[in-house]
Amino acid sequence: MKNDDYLWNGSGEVDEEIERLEQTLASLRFKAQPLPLPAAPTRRVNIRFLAAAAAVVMALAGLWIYLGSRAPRSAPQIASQPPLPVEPQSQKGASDQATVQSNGEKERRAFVAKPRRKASPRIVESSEALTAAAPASPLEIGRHIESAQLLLRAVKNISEDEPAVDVSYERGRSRLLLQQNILLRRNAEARGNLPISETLGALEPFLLDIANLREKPSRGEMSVIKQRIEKKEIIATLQVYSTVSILN
Amino acid sequence: MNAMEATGDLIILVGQAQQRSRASDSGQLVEAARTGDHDAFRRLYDLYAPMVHGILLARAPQWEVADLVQDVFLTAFNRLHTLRDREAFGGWIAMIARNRAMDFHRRSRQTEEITEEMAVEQNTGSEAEARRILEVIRRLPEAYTETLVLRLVEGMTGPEIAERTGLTPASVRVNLHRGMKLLREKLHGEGLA
Repeated sequence: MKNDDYLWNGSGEVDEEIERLEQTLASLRFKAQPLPLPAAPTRRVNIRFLAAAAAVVMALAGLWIYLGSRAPRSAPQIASQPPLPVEPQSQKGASDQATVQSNGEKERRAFVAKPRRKASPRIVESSEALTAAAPASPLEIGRHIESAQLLLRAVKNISEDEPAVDVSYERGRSRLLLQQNILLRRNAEARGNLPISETLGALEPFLLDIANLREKPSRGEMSVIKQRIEKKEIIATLQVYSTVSILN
Repeated sequence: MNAMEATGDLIILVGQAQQRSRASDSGQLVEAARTGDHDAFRRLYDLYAPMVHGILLARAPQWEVADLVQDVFLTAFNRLHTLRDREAFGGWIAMIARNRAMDFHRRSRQTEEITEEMAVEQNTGSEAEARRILEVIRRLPEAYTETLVLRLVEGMTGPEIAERTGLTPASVRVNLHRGMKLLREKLHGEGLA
Protein backbone atom coordinates (compact mmCIF):
# COMPACT_ATOMS: atom_id res chain seq x y z
CA MET A 1 0.00 0.00 0.00
CA LYS A 2 2.86 2.36 0.77
CA ASN A 3 4.14 1.97 -2.82
CA ASP A 4 0.69 2.86 -4.11
CA ASP A 5 0.66 6.01 -2.01
CA TYR A 6 3.88 7.15 -3.53
CA LEU A 7 2.58 6.26 -6.98
CA TRP A 8 -0.72 7.99 -6.20
CA ASN A 9 0.46 11.32 -4.88
CA GLY A 10 4.15 11.11 -4.06
CA SER A 11 3.52 10.71 -0.36
CA GLY A 12 4.70 7.92 1.94
CA GLU A 13 7.75 5.80 1.50
CA VAL A 14 9.63 6.41 -1.72
CA ASP A 15 9.47 3.61 -4.27
CA GLU A 16 12.99 3.57 -5.69
CA GLU A 17 11.99 2.09 -9.03
CA ILE A 18 9.29 4.70 -9.59
CA GLU A 19 11.67 7.44 -8.51
CA ARG A 20 14.27 6.22 -11.02
CA LEU A 21 11.65 6.14 -13.77
CA GLU A 22 10.53 9.67 -12.88
CA GLN A 23 14.08 10.96 -13.07
CA THR A 24 14.81 9.23 -16.36
CA LEU A 25 11.56 10.21 -18.04
CA ALA A 26 11.76 13.83 -16.83
CA SER A 27 13.84 14.63 -19.91
CA LEU A 28 10.71 14.09 -21.99
CA ARG A 29 8.57 16.36 -19.80
CA PHE A 30 6.60 19.27 -21.24
CA LYS A 31 8.66 22.41 -21.74
CA ALA A 32 6.51 25.51 -21.83
CA GLN A 33 6.58 27.47 -25.06
CA PRO A 34 4.90 30.77 -25.86
CA LEU A 35 1.46 30.23 -27.31
CA PRO A 36 0.72 32.54 -30.25
CA LEU A 37 -2.99 33.32 -30.26
CA PRO A 38 -4.97 35.03 -33.00
CA ALA A 39 -6.63 38.32 -32.12
CA ALA A 40 -10.02 36.68 -32.22
CA PRO A 41 -11.18 33.08 -32.65
CA THR A 42 -11.24 32.16 -36.31
CA ARG A 43 -14.37 30.15 -36.73
CA ARG A 44 -14.08 27.72 -39.57
CA VAL A 45 -16.81 27.85 -42.16
CA ASN A 46 -18.51 24.54 -42.45
CA ILE A 47 -18.21 23.69 -46.14
CA ARG A 48 -20.96 21.12 -45.99
CA PHE A 49 -23.30 23.59 -44.37
CA LEU A 50 -22.47 26.20 -47.02
CA ALA A 51 -23.01 23.70 -49.83
CA ALA A 52 -26.38 22.67 -48.40
CA ALA A 53 -27.43 26.30 -47.97
CA ALA A 54 -26.39 27.10 -51.56
CA ALA A 55 -28.36 24.11 -52.83
CA VAL A 56 -31.47 25.24 -50.96
CA VAL A 57 -31.13 28.80 -52.29
CA MET A 58 -30.70 27.52 -55.85
CA ALA A 59 -33.69 25.21 -55.51
CA LEU A 60 -35.84 28.06 -54.22
CA ALA A 61 -34.64 30.33 -57.02
CA GLY A 62 -35.43 27.64 -59.58
CA LEU A 63 -38.87 27.13 -58.10
CA TRP A 64 -39.49 30.86 -58.12
CA ILE A 65 -38.46 31.15 -61.77
CA TYR A 66 -40.56 28.11 -62.70
CA LEU A 67 -43.66 29.43 -60.96
CA GLY A 68 -43.03 32.87 -62.39
CA SER A 69 -42.93 31.46 -65.92
CA ARG A 70 -46.19 29.61 -65.34
CA ALA A 71 -48.06 32.49 -63.73
CA PRO A 72 -50.03 34.83 -65.98
CA ARG A 73 -48.41 38.09 -66.79
CA SER A 74 -50.31 40.94 -65.24
CA ALA A 75 -52.09 43.53 -67.33
CA PRO A 76 -49.75 46.38 -66.39
CA GLN A 77 -46.84 44.30 -67.67
CA ILE A 78 -48.55 43.87 -71.02
CA ALA A 79 -49.51 47.51 -71.18
CA SER A 80 -45.96 48.61 -70.38
CA GLN A 81 -44.33 46.22 -72.82
CA PRO A 82 -42.17 47.68 -75.57
CA PRO A 83 -43.81 47.87 -78.98
CA LEU A 84 -44.47 44.49 -80.44
CA PRO A 85 -42.57 43.54 -83.58
CA VAL A 86 -44.66 43.12 -86.64
CA GLU A 87 -45.44 39.48 -87.33
CA PRO A 88 -43.95 37.84 -90.42
CA GLN A 89 -47.48 37.30 -91.63
CA SER A 90 -48.08 41.02 -91.42
CA GLN A 91 -44.87 41.76 -93.20
CA LYS A 92 -45.85 39.34 -95.86
CA GLY A 93 -49.17 41.12 -96.22
CA ALA A 94 -47.39 44.39 -96.45
CA SER A 95 -45.01 43.10 -99.04
CA ASP A 96 -47.96 42.16 -101.18
CA GLN A 97 -48.39 45.80 -101.80
CA ALA A 98 -45.88 45.73 -104.57
CA THR A 99 -47.78 48.21 -106.58
CA VAL A 100 -47.88 50.84 -103.91
CA GLN A 101 -45.80 53.82 -104.79
CA SER A 102 -42.29 54.14 -103.42
CA ASN A 103 -43.17 56.95 -101.01
CA GLY A 104 -45.82 54.81 -99.44
CA GLU A 105 -43.42 51.89 -99.00
CA LYS A 106 -40.84 54.03 -97.29
CA GLU A 107 -43.45 55.25 -94.89
CA ARG A 108 -44.59 51.70 -94.20
CA ARG A 109 -41.08 50.50 -93.42
CA ALA A 110 -40.58 53.44 -91.16
CA PHE A 111 -43.74 52.56 -89.28
CA VAL A 112 -42.74 48.96 -88.87
CA ALA A 113 -39.31 49.87 -87.59
CA LYS A 114 -40.10 52.68 -85.21
CA PRO A 115 -41.91 52.20 -81.90
CA ARG A 116 -45.61 52.56 -82.01
CA ARG A 117 -47.34 55.33 -80.30
CA LYS A 118 -48.54 54.86 -76.81
CA ALA A 119 -51.82 53.03 -76.72
CA SER A 120 -54.88 54.93 -75.73
CA PRO A 121 -56.48 54.18 -72.35
CA ARG A 122 -59.23 52.27 -74.07
CA ILE A 123 -56.75 49.90 -75.69
CA VAL A 124 -54.95 49.33 -72.41
CA GLU A 125 -58.25 48.55 -70.76
CA SER A 126 -59.01 46.09 -73.52
CA SER A 127 -55.62 44.50 -73.20
CA GLU A 128 -56.25 43.89 -69.52
CA ALA A 129 -58.82 41.35 -70.58
CA LEU A 130 -56.38 39.65 -72.89
CA THR A 131 -54.10 38.05 -70.41
CA ALA A 132 -53.17 34.44 -70.83
CA ALA A 133 -55.18 33.49 -67.76
CA ALA A 134 -58.29 35.28 -68.91
CA PRO A 135 -59.14 34.51 -72.50
CA ALA A 136 -60.68 37.28 -74.56
CA SER A 137 -64.46 37.08 -74.44
CA PRO A 138 -66.41 36.60 -77.69
CA LEU A 139 -68.04 39.94 -77.01
CA GLU A 140 -64.64 41.62 -76.90
CA ILE A 141 -63.61 39.96 -80.14
CA GLY A 142 -66.97 40.76 -81.71
CA ARG A 143 -66.66 44.44 -80.85
CA HIS A 144 -63.16 44.53 -82.27
CA ILE A 145 -64.17 42.87 -85.50
CA GLU A 146 -67.15 45.16 -85.84
CA SER A 147 -64.93 48.19 -85.39
CA ALA A 148 -62.50 46.85 -87.96
CA GLN A 149 -65.36 46.12 -90.32
CA LEU A 150 -66.63 49.70 -90.03
CA LEU A 151 -63.13 51.03 -90.68
CA LEU A 152 -62.70 48.92 -93.80
CA ARG A 153 -66.11 49.99 -95.08
CA ALA A 154 -65.20 53.61 -94.49
CA VAL A 155 -61.97 53.21 -96.41
CA LYS A 156 -63.69 51.34 -99.20
CA ASN A 157 -66.30 54.11 -99.52
CA ILE A 158 -63.79 56.92 -99.85
CA SER A 159 -64.49 58.61 -103.16
CA GLU A 160 -61.75 58.40 -105.74
CA ASP A 161 -63.05 61.47 -107.46
CA GLU A 162 -61.57 63.78 -104.95
CA PRO A 163 -57.90 64.53 -105.67
CA ALA A 164 -56.51 64.15 -102.12
CA VAL A 165 -58.57 62.86 -99.23
CA ASP A 166 -57.45 63.35 -95.65
CA VAL A 167 -57.38 59.87 -94.05
CA SER A 168 -55.63 60.85 -90.80
CA TYR A 169 -58.62 59.74 -88.75
CA GLU A 170 -58.78 56.33 -90.44
CA ARG A 171 -55.03 55.95 -90.10
CA GLY A 172 -55.09 56.67 -86.37
CA ARG A 173 -58.04 54.38 -85.87
CA SER A 174 -56.32 51.63 -87.77
CA ARG A 175 -53.22 51.88 -85.58
CA LEU A 176 -55.27 51.39 -82.46
CA LEU A 177 -57.15 48.49 -83.96
CA LEU A 178 -53.90 46.97 -85.20
CA GLN A 179 -52.46 46.89 -81.69
CA GLN A 180 -55.61 45.36 -80.28
CA ASN A 181 -55.75 42.92 -83.16
CA ILE A 182 -52.26 41.63 -82.38
CA LEU A 183 -53.19 41.03 -78.77
CA LEU A 184 -56.43 39.29 -79.62
CA ARG A 185 -54.76 37.12 -82.24
CA ARG A 186 -52.00 36.05 -79.86
CA ASN A 187 -54.55 35.31 -77.22
CA ALA A 188 -56.53 33.17 -79.65
CA GLU A 189 -53.37 31.34 -80.74
CA ALA A 190 -52.41 30.64 -77.15
CA ARG A 191 -55.91 29.25 -76.53
CA GLY A 192 -55.83 27.16 -79.68
CA ASN A 193 -58.79 29.06 -81.15
CA LEU A 194 -57.82 28.63 -84.79
CA PRO A 195 -60.85 30.23 -86.56
CA ILE A 196 -60.51 33.49 -84.67
CA SER A 197 -56.77 33.43 -85.00
CA GLU A 198 -57.02 33.04 -88.78
CA THR A 199 -59.69 35.70 -89.11
CA LEU A 200 -57.68 38.22 -87.13
CA GLY A 201 -54.55 37.18 -89.02
CA ALA A 202 -56.31 37.94 -92.31
CA LEU A 203 -57.43 41.31 -91.00
CA GLU A 204 -54.01 42.41 -89.81
CA PRO A 205 -52.41 43.27 -93.22
CA PHE A 206 -55.30 45.59 -94.04
CA LEU A 207 -55.01 47.41 -90.73
CA LEU A 208 -51.29 47.69 -91.31
CA ASP A 209 -51.72 49.13 -94.78
CA ILE A 210 -54.21 51.73 -93.59
CA ALA A 211 -52.04 52.60 -90.59
CA ASN A 212 -49.15 53.22 -92.95
CA LEU A 213 -50.99 55.54 -95.29
CA ARG A 214 -49.97 59.12 -95.61
CA GLU A 215 -52.38 61.76 -94.32
CA LYS A 216 -53.38 62.55 -97.85
CA PRO A 217 -52.64 59.50 -99.97
CA SER A 218 -52.75 59.52 -103.74
CA ARG A 219 -55.56 57.97 -105.72
CA GLY A 220 -53.33 55.09 -106.68
CA GLU A 221 -52.56 54.23 -103.07
CA MET A 222 -56.19 54.26 -102.07
CA SER A 223 -57.15 52.29 -105.14
CA VAL A 224 -54.75 49.49 -104.34
CA ILE A 225 -56.11 49.09 -100.81
CA LYS A 226 -59.70 49.18 -101.94
CA GLN A 227 -59.04 46.55 -104.59
CA ARG A 228 -57.42 44.27 -102.07
CA ILE A 229 -60.35 44.68 -99.65
CA GLU A 230 -62.70 43.61 -102.39
CA LYS A 231 -60.50 40.85 -103.73
CA LYS A 232 -59.91 39.21 -100.36
CA GLU A 233 -63.51 39.70 -99.28
CA ILE A 234 -62.31 40.60 -95.86
CA ILE A 235 -65.42 42.60 -95.00
CA ALA A 236 -67.63 39.62 -95.77
CA THR A 237 -65.43 37.39 -93.64
CA LEU A 238 -65.65 39.79 -90.74
CA GLN A 239 -69.37 40.14 -91.19
CA VAL A 240 -69.82 36.40 -90.95
CA TYR A 241 -67.92 36.29 -87.71
CA SER A 242 -69.92 39.23 -86.33
CA THR A 243 -73.17 37.47 -87.16
CA VAL A 244 -72.01 34.25 -85.55
CA SER A 245 -70.89 36.01 -82.41
CA ILE A 246 -74.17 37.92 -82.17
CA LEU A 247 -76.13 34.68 -82.55
CA ASN A 248 -74.03 33.07 -79.82
CA MET B 1 -12.21 -0.76 7.88
CA ASN B 2 -8.62 -0.49 8.98
CA ALA B 3 -6.66 2.72 9.49
CA MET B 4 -4.85 2.57 6.15
CA GLU B 5 -8.06 2.17 4.11
CA ALA B 6 -9.62 5.05 6.03
CA THR B 7 -6.62 7.22 5.23
CA GLY B 8 -6.86 6.29 1.57
CA ASP B 9 -10.56 7.18 1.45
CA LEU B 10 -9.84 10.48 3.18
CA ILE B 11 -7.19 11.31 0.62
CA ILE B 12 -9.62 10.59 -2.20
CA LEU B 13 -12.30 12.78 -0.58
CA VAL B 14 -9.84 15.63 -0.15
CA GLY B 15 -8.73 15.13 -3.74
CA GLN B 16 -12.32 15.31 -4.95
CA ALA B 17 -12.90 18.54 -3.05
CA GLN B 18 -9.74 20.06 -4.50
CA GLN B 19 -10.81 18.82 -7.95
CA ARG B 20 -14.15 20.64 -7.67
CA SER B 21 -12.42 23.80 -6.55
CA ARG B 22 -9.90 23.73 -9.39
CA ALA B 23 -12.61 22.96 -11.93
CA SER B 24 -14.46 26.02 -10.72
CA ASP B 25 -11.31 28.10 -11.22
CA SER B 26 -10.93 26.68 -14.71
CA GLY B 27 -14.58 27.50 -15.37
CA GLN B 28 -13.97 31.14 -14.56
CA LEU B 29 -10.94 31.19 -16.81
CA VAL B 30 -12.96 29.63 -19.62
CA GLU B 31 -15.66 32.25 -19.18
CA ALA B 32 -13.06 35.02 -19.33
CA ALA B 33 -11.34 33.46 -22.36
CA ARG B 34 -14.66 33.31 -24.17
CA THR B 35 -14.93 37.08 -23.91
CA GLY B 36 -11.54 37.41 -25.62
CA ASP B 37 -9.30 37.49 -22.55
CA HIS B 38 -6.01 36.10 -23.88
CA ASP B 39 -4.38 36.09 -20.47
CA ALA B 40 -7.13 33.83 -19.16
CA PHE B 41 -6.57 31.41 -22.02
CA ARG B 42 -2.80 31.43 -21.43
CA ARG B 43 -3.51 30.57 -17.81
CA LEU B 44 -5.57 27.61 -19.04
CA TYR B 45 -2.62 26.69 -21.25
CA ASP B 46 -0.29 26.73 -18.24
CA LEU B 47 -2.69 24.52 -16.31
CA TYR B 48 -3.52 22.00 -18.99
CA ALA B 49 -0.52 21.93 -21.36
CA PRO B 50 1.33 19.21 -19.37
CA MET B 51 -1.74 16.98 -19.56
CA VAL B 52 -2.17 17.61 -23.30
CA HIS B 53 1.55 16.98 -23.78
CA GLY B 54 1.29 13.69 -21.89
CA ILE B 55 -1.74 12.52 -23.86
CA LEU B 56 0.03 13.28 -27.12
CA LEU B 57 3.29 11.76 -25.98
CA ALA B 58 1.46 8.52 -25.26
CA ARG B 59 0.31 8.37 -28.89
CA ALA B 60 2.45 10.45 -31.25
CA PRO B 61 6.18 10.62 -32.07
CA GLN B 62 8.05 12.63 -29.46
CA TRP B 63 9.50 15.17 -31.92
CA GLU B 64 5.99 16.03 -33.17
CA VAL B 65 4.40 16.51 -29.77
CA ALA B 66 5.42 20.13 -29.18
CA ASP B 67 3.77 21.26 -32.42
CA LEU B 68 0.72 19.13 -31.76
CA VAL B 69 0.29 20.73 -28.34
CA GLN B 70 0.15 24.15 -30.01
CA ASP B 71 -2.34 22.83 -32.55
CA VAL B 72 -4.58 21.48 -29.83
CA PHE B 73 -4.67 24.75 -27.93
CA LEU B 74 -5.27 26.81 -31.05
CA THR B 75 -8.13 24.49 -31.94
CA ALA B 76 -9.51 24.87 -28.44
CA PHE B 77 -9.20 28.65 -28.63
CA ASN B 78 -11.14 28.76 -31.88
CA ARG B 79 -13.80 26.33 -30.68
CA LEU B 80 -14.21 27.60 -27.17
CA HIS B 81 -17.70 28.86 -28.01
CA THR B 82 -18.79 25.24 -28.62
CA LEU B 83 -17.94 24.15 -25.06
CA ARG B 84 -21.29 23.91 -23.29
CA ASP B 85 -20.14 23.12 -19.75
CA ARG B 86 -17.32 25.49 -18.87
CA GLU B 87 -16.36 23.23 -15.92
CA ALA B 88 -15.62 20.38 -18.36
CA PHE B 89 -12.72 22.13 -20.09
CA GLY B 90 -10.20 19.48 -19.00
CA GLY B 91 -12.09 16.52 -20.43
CA TRP B 92 -12.93 18.53 -23.52
CA ILE B 93 -9.37 19.51 -24.37
CA ALA B 94 -8.17 15.97 -23.53
CA MET B 95 -10.59 14.69 -26.17
CA ILE B 96 -9.30 17.24 -28.68
CA ALA B 97 -5.75 16.03 -27.97
CA ARG B 98 -6.69 12.35 -28.45
CA ASN B 99 -8.47 13.17 -31.71
CA ARG B 100 -5.51 15.23 -32.89
CA ALA B 101 -3.17 12.32 -32.26
CA MET B 102 -5.44 9.98 -34.23
CA ASP B 103 -5.66 12.52 -37.01
CA PHE B 104 -1.86 12.77 -37.06
CA HIS B 105 -1.50 9.01 -37.55
CA ARG B 106 -4.16 8.99 -40.23
CA ARG B 107 -2.33 11.63 -42.23
CA SER B 108 1.18 10.35 -41.61
CA ARG B 109 0.30 7.05 -43.30
CA GLN B 110 0.34 8.89 -46.61
CA THR B 111 3.88 10.17 -46.08
CA GLU B 112 7.18 8.55 -45.27
CA GLU B 113 7.26 8.04 -41.56
CA ILE B 114 10.46 8.28 -39.50
CA THR B 115 10.34 5.44 -37.02
CA GLU B 116 10.88 5.93 -33.32
CA GLU B 117 13.89 3.63 -33.54
CA MET B 118 15.59 5.90 -36.07
CA ALA B 119 15.19 8.80 -33.68
CA VAL B 120 16.43 6.78 -30.74
CA GLU B 121 19.64 5.94 -32.61
CA GLN B 122 20.48 9.62 -32.79
CA ASN B 123 20.43 9.97 -29.01
CA THR B 124 22.62 8.57 -26.34
CA GLY B 125 22.66 8.29 -22.57
CA SER B 126 19.66 8.96 -20.36
CA GLU B 127 17.53 10.47 -23.11
CA ALA B 128 17.88 7.30 -25.17
CA GLU B 129 16.96 5.24 -22.14
CA ALA B 130 13.95 7.51 -21.57
CA ARG B 131 12.76 6.87 -25.09
CA ARG B 132 13.15 3.13 -24.69
CA ILE B 133 11.12 3.19 -21.46
CA LEU B 134 8.52 5.35 -23.15
CA GLU B 135 8.25 2.78 -25.92
CA VAL B 136 7.58 0.09 -23.32
CA ILE B 137 4.88 2.24 -21.70
CA ARG B 138 3.28 2.81 -25.10
CA ARG B 139 2.92 -0.90 -25.64
CA LEU B 140 0.71 -1.17 -22.55
CA PRO B 141 -3.10 -0.92 -22.81
CA GLU B 142 -4.11 2.62 -23.74
CA ALA B 143 -5.79 3.48 -20.41
CA TYR B 144 -2.64 2.59 -18.52
CA THR B 145 -0.32 4.27 -21.01
CA GLU B 146 -1.93 7.68 -20.73
CA THR B 147 -2.13 7.62 -16.94
CA LEU B 148 1.44 6.39 -16.51
CA VAL B 149 2.85 8.98 -18.90
CA LEU B 150 1.05 11.73 -17.01
CA ARG B 151 2.37 10.39 -13.71
CA LEU B 152 5.92 9.36 -14.61
CA VAL B 153 6.78 11.78 -17.45
CA GLU B 154 4.77 14.88 -16.63
CA GLY B 155 5.14 14.41 -12.88
CA MET B 156 1.45 14.88 -12.13
CA THR B 157 -0.06 13.29 -9.04
CA GLY B 158 -3.07 10.99 -9.19
CA PRO B 159 -5.51 13.69 -8.02
CA GLU B 160 -4.10 16.13 -10.57
CA ILE B 161 -4.55 13.58 -13.34
CA ALA B 162 -8.15 13.03 -12.26
CA GLU B 163 -8.85 16.75 -12.07
CA ARG B 164 -7.30 17.59 -15.44
CA THR B 165 -8.66 14.67 -17.46
CA GLY B 166 -12.08 14.56 -15.85
CA LEU B 167 -11.65 10.92 -14.81
CA THR B 168 -12.69 9.85 -11.31
CA PRO B 169 -9.84 9.58 -8.79
CA ALA B 170 -10.72 5.92 -8.24
CA SER B 171 -10.30 5.14 -11.93
CA VAL B 172 -6.98 6.94 -12.05
CA ARG B 173 -5.76 5.08 -8.98
CA VAL B 174 -6.73 1.70 -10.44
CA ASN B 175 -5.09 2.54 -13.77
CA LEU B 176 -1.91 3.63 -12.05
CA HIS B 177 -1.77 0.53 -9.86
CA ARG B 178 -2.44 -2.00 -12.63
CA GLY B 179 -0.42 -0.13 -15.22
CA MET B 180 2.61 0.10 -12.95
CA LYS B 181 2.41 -3.59 -12.21
CA LEU B 182 2.42 -4.40 -15.93
CA LEU B 183 5.21 -1.92 -16.59
CA ARG B 184 7.46 -3.45 -13.95
CA GLU B 185 7.01 -6.86 -15.55
CA LYS B 186 7.81 -5.51 -19.03
CA LEU B 187 10.85 -3.54 -17.86
CA HIS B 188 12.27 -6.56 -16.07
CA GLY B 189 11.56 -8.69 -19.13
CA GLU B 190 13.50 -6.28 -21.40
CA GLY B 191 16.34 -5.67 -18.95
CA LEU B 192 15.45 -2.01 -18.40
CA ALA B 193 14.70 -2.30 -14.72
